[in-house]
Amino acid sequence: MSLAGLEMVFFLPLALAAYWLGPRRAGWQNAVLALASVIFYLSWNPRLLAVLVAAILASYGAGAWLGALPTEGLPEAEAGVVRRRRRRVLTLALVAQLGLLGVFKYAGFFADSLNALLGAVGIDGALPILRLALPLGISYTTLVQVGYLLEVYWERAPACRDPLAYGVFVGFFPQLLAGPIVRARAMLPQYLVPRRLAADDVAAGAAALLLGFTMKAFVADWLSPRVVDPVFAHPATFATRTLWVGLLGYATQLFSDFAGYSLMALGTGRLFGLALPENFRHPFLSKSLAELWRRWHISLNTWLFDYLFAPLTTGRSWFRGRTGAGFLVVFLVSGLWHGATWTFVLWGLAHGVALAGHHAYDGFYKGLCRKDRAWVARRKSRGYGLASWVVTQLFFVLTLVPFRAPSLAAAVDFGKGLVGLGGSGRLAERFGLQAAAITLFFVAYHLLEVGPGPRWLQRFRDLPAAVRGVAYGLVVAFLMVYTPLGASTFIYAQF
Amino acid sequence: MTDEAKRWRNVAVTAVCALATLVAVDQALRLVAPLKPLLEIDEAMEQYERGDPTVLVLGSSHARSFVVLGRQLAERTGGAERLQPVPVEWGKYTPYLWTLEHRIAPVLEQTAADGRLVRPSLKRVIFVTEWWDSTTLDIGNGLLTMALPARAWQWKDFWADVFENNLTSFNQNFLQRVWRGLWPWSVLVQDRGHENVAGAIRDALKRPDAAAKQAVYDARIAEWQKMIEGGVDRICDAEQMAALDRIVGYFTGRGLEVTMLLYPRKPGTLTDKAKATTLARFSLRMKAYADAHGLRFVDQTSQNPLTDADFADDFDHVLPDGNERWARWALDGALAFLTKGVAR
Repeated sequence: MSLAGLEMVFFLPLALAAYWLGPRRAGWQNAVLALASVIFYLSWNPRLLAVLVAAILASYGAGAWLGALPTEGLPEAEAGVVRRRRRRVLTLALVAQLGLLGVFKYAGFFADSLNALLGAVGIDGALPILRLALPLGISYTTLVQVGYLLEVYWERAPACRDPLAYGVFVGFFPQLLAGPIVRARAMLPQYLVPRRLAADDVAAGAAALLLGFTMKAFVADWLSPRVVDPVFAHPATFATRTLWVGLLGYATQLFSDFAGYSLMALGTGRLFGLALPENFRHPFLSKSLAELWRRWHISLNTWLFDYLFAPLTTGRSWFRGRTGAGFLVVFLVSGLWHGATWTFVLWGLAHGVALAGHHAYDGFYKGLCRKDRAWVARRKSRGYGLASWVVTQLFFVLTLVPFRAPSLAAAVDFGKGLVGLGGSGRLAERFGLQAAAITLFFVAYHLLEVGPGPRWLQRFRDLPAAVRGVAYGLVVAFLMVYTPLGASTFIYAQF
Repeated sequence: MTDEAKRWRNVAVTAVCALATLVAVDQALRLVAPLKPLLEIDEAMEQYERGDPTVLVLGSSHARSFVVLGRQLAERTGGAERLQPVPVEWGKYTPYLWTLEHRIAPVLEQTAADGRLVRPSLKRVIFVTEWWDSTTLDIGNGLLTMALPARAWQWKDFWADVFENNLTSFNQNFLQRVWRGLWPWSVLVQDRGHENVAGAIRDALKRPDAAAKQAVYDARIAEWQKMIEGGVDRICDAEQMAALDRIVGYFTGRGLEVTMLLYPRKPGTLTDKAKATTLARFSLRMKAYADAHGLRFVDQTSQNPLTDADFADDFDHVLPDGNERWARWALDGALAFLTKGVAR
């Protein structure tokens, strides 16, 4: 089951009816969400539901344990003992959560890599390779739970005392497949109180669902089989221009697939009266990598920077003050989080190095500005802005080659082809109206954020309800005609 | 009116106007791509239950041609002979068997409290087939795999599969059918996967010239010719023939007179090579099979009154006028026996 699947037409109204027509109590509403989430999970893999439930119970228990060990108001000597105990509880809980993720997601990768290394020195097949089915959304639910445990450990958030609310906070079905990665301080309080059905939530939720579905089903699912998949399947055979079209198509597909599904999750959340965090904010407008990562997969990147980068670079380890090294670690982890393959490691390494380089350049430039204010004006000029945008976007798009390529060898072939050292093949299909409509939609979506865009958007929102209704009706009719059949796979579900 | 009440009113007005627009667009699209209701298994079985037919026709979508033949037969016999086609879209022998066992047999075998059949009139079965049905060939887009859930399943079959295999893209096809069934009047819903509306809009915006249309036609004819020629080594697949054995065994075991009919093909798609190889071999095999099992055998693959113009744009199905002509011809000739009783 997925938010963009036809089954949702049957499932969501039933869940919403049970949720809103039942007693207006947090317990009832959470029970409905829990049941809906279990059904959603069961539709993917019933056997692995136990893994999620065990992980949730473990993190809930650890949180409660930490909550029962407060340090506030204790004499220093006693506080030291409690702090040590808290650290042990946290370590145990983190080992359990990350261990689970490690076994299911990375055991095969590390065993494979070690065997290859040992094979190089003449020792064959030393380690058995585990090939386990990945529990649905484990990469997301693990980060949600680890974030919660750290918040409680740092005493920034209280331990949750309601297991049902906590379970739904971790496993709420719209966020299971592709996030967003929710945070305890923002989300848990919402699950602890009864929710009220508000007109704004219904309107915003429906609009987000419609926009998200358009991005996911109309843009991403059209591009994938026609432009992206053929080019990445045999990169060595295609001409330079075709490879660039395929690569730009993939950037568009990846964004539309992921941001579209995230928007659908947000929209579904709103229909249940819950405000999930925003996950994308027009990333293709970014003029630096730092800005791009504040706009792309926001919930993952803020998680990595809050729970990994900040403790690393402000703690007492070697990394203290070494921002560049911190970037490197964060993006290597991000790469591995996206997938247990060397192509993702390469992707993470490239972004870590680039962010470290950009950070150094930024420091250098600020030095120039301090010496001569003319450098400030140069940085604010249109030319500088355009050059920054081009370099940032070009780098991001190019690093999608290892991100999408099935192997390092394929990534190298693709890279060669991009600079004219590939084949001469072209895509079989000629693209007409629909390709133009997709490009127009994609550009318009981003332009709504700049210049007069926000004003136009506001003008549309200020139109009479009847006119907006007609516009929405036309969009739905358009989607019913032009959305490819079987729009059901999600790139980010695999992470 | 409170602010919240105003907001609710806005939401309601927006939703109603959106729905009204959708309905209006839907109705307007009927003009460019009219709905073409097709007989499906559910409806066919409902008709069977009500009509207690004397002749059952089992086959792929080609069995729909027998709707016309059934009408003409009823006219000729004053309603004494009632023919019921059950079309299994994208059929092969294995899905025919599934449909027989899960949908047809329970209705056929239903008995009253005194043990007598509720519908005792069935005397004859026409099994409509062609070479493609006996192969494992798919047409490359997975349409075959969705035939059963999309056409033949009921809710119990869906849930059984979901409990066994989780929700899969295979069993989700059943939900597509349920969804379509909820909106039988909607072009927008019924057109999903057929793209008639998109095609009609495209043609309206940019009318293809005659040369381009001819080029597309020629290319598709060549594809069909190649496919039929290429089927020579794939006909009479063992798994499909085993299913055929069970189908024929079931009908003959119930004392029914079975006719095997090879369905007419569009003349332009049949090359001399195909006629001499795939089609000749299939005809011979099926003739031998029919003789061995005591079935009547009728081969209309290329011996029929139809021309290329009688076939629809899909090159596969006969147009309404063609069906009328073919049915008259068949009832005057090879299927004239249908107008007479069965000697038991």
